[in-house]
Amino acid sequence: MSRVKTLKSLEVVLESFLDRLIRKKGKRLIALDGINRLDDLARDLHPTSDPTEELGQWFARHNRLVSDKVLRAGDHRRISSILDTIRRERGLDESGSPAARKIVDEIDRWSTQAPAGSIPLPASRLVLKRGSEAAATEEAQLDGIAQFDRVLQQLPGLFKDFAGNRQHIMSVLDEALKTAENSNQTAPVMLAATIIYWLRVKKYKVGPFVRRLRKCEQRLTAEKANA
Amino acid sequence: MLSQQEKAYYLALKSVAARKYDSAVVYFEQASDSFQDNAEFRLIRETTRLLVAVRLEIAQLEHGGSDQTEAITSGIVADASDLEGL
Repeated sequence: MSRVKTLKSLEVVLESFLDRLIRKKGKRLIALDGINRLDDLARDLHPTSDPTEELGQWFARHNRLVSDKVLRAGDHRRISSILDTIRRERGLDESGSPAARKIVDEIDRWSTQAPAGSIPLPASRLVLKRGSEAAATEEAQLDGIAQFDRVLQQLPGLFKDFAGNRQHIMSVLDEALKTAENSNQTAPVMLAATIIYWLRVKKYKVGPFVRRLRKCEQRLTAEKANA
Repeated sequence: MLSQQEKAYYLALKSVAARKYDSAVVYFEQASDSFQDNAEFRLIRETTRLLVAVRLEIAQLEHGGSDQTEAITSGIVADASDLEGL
């Protein structure tokens, strides 16, 4: 077989593999379509434009995301968060036009809808395991120190990003958890854990935040196990 | 709001779905800082990169005038260029 023929065979195999991968992610792409479109809407809204028409179109097109069971719990929270941002920044409330009231109703309905289709997190106990001290080589210990140092270096910048113009440390924690819920990075989880511990020392009630953090940890562990 | 990296990953997947592999490679690069540790991300990105490289190689061989013809001699496969000195 000539080199070109061999390469063309490889091309077909690779294309077919990618097609199947994308088909497998079909529902995920539908969810991402909806989130991305809403995110574009939130970013591109002109200060003087009326957002009700575009939001109405978004609801008409993506309302089935919940009933069609394509959203993860994190997706639902993220969509609610973007809708809240639009509502707050554009001053949408019940006193507006009929169209605005309808959109406010839709946003409220969305926020109260249970993400029935959310993909359940694996129910597993968190167990911290480590090898015996004797078995740990010096190199492995150095790796651990280097790895922890790398995550630690990311935390101040991450904290400043999340803090932004927020008024309370709870809001920063909420943002850190939202990021942790929607990514597979370790740093937001570490930051959230640090803030939770600080709040606990200050005698704040942190139960709901701890539960969210545990879910993030479970997801990270499950993803690493599947990797 | 979505981060720039999340948006880039989404656009990369859409590009792969539309078979616009060159664009996908660019978006994968933009997303790589946040998804480097994600095994699925790495798998799709590397497969797409390989596919783009294979297509480039095919284009060069077909249009670059360097198509190599194989000759089979005593069961050994060799490029024609290897036989020029004989």
